[in-house]
Amino acid sequence: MRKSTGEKVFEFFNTAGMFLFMLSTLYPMWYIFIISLTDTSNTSTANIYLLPGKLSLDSYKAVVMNAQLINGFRISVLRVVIGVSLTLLVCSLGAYVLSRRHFKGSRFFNMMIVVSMFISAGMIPFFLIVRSMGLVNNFWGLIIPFAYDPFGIILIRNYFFNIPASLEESARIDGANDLKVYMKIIIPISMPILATMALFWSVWFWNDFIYASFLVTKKDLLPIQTILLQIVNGASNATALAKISARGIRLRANGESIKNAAIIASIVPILVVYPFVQKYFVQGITLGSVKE
Amino acid sequence: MTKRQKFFKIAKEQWMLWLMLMPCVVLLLLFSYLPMFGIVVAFQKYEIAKGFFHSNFIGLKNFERFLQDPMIKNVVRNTLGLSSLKLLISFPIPIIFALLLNEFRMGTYKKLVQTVSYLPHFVSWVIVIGIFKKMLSSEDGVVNLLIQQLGFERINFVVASWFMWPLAIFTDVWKETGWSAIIYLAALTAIDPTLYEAAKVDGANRWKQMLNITLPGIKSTIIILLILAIPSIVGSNVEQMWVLGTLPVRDITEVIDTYVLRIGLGGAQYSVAAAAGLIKTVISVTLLVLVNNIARRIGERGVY
Repeated sequence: MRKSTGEKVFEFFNTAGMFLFMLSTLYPMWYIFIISLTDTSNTSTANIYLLPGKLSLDSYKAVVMNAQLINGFRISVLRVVIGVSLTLLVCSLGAYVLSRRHFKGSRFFNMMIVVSMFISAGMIPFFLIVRSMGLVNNFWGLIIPFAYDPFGIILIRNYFFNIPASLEESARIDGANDLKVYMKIIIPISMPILATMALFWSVWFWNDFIYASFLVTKKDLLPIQTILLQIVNGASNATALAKISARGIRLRANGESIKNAAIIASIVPILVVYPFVQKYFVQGITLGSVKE
Repeated sequence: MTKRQKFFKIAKEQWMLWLMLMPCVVLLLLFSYLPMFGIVVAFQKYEIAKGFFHSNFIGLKNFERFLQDPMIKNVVRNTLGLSSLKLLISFPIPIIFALLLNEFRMGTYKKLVQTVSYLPHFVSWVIVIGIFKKMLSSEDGVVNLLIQQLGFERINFVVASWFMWPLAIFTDVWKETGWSAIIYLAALTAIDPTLYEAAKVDGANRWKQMLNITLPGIKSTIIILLILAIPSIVGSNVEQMWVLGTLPVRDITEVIDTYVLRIGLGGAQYSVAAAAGLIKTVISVTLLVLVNNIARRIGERGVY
């Protein structure tokens, strides 16, 4: 079929517009990236906008040599790995039970979960409760209060609902109990939704700074995002960081470029896993949410 | 079978399911429902040493103190102003984006745009604001480089109060447009393609097809998301506003959620902060019920 002139004009502008959209999405990250790669010892980065100036990896060296930043990355990685594993276990077990139609009490517990999605007590009572349990300034305080996600349970449960009952029948005949059915049959074929949720939760645990900055004040427990918050808002001086890093070795990096290198370093883990899980999450989010 | 026998029969059959459900229920009770009872601090003169059970009840004094705070005028203005602007700007943009993306017939380009568009959603607010503050820096930011090249004076955006709301809206759009569009794109794929064929036969051009088939096709999705968005008019993106709210611009960036954190957890005035938070929750739940009822009355499916 031939296209009208109007259609051709529209398609041209739409294609060009989307190109601009991609450019404006990627450029800010690209800009920080090229600055983090630039030698800032003698010249300012004021004239850099497309390609890095005189190349230097010293900003990254300074990040690696900075004990506080490295510890922040360590805490964040631990938080993601332990937090996501625990959340996956807790939520998939719960979702399995709630997907059993013969389970007495599933109506009640479903209700409990839905209510908790709409009504929350707010930050202050939450914080006071968490503190009364001794979870403030405690690594587990960054994990246990968040190892449960009502949206996640509902999404996973919806996925389990769609698994044909015939799949587990033969196992049942062989005398498998619920735990066995869950581990041997349900979990292996639910990888798309579990991968999706693992991605969401990883991003949450990795990116959270607001809870972390109130639950943790001890320096050696601060996750990387909280340290970056202090640097970005000037509460902690980036130049001081540069000095700590230098430790007598002359690095061609100043506070600004270390900050930018740390920013890039904190995005990299997301960029690395992103292409692999990308195909899963659209599928996962739409499976759970727009079911009519 | 008596009730007792029935109970034991079910207990015998389902004890393992109960055990599997326990971790989830325990966390739900401890960190979601227990704090709901912890809201009593809003009516107490809460002292850490005395705890929930021994602190004195002082009626509505905390609410009074919150309402008498000179900061509250700004807080209310910022909260309502920013949320209304977001509802006007950040809410429709993903819909338009999804509609435009839907017009691409070729798969690869569409997919590329989509992949790129999700990316900023996965970057934390600290990083997003950090990146934009760097770009806007008056000393060496790229935006001021451009302004200077064009022959104008450099502007110190980062400490300019007037610039904070536009920055909040812009970063919100930059970060979440692609992500928010997912749900509309999913709804778009559910539209029956034969409708378009029929429209073509009737001589409808693409604009007409969009108005008469595509938009009605995603109408219920839009309404559900609108119902969920309206109660958040008293809410805000606490992470975004927390990072934006540095001292020089705080008058213009402080919203209820950041105010609660600042006086509650920052200033240890737990009771006043909890009272402020409670007011917010009550308003937003009321709005949700209200809007949901209206939606159902005009014949739409509500969210509950």
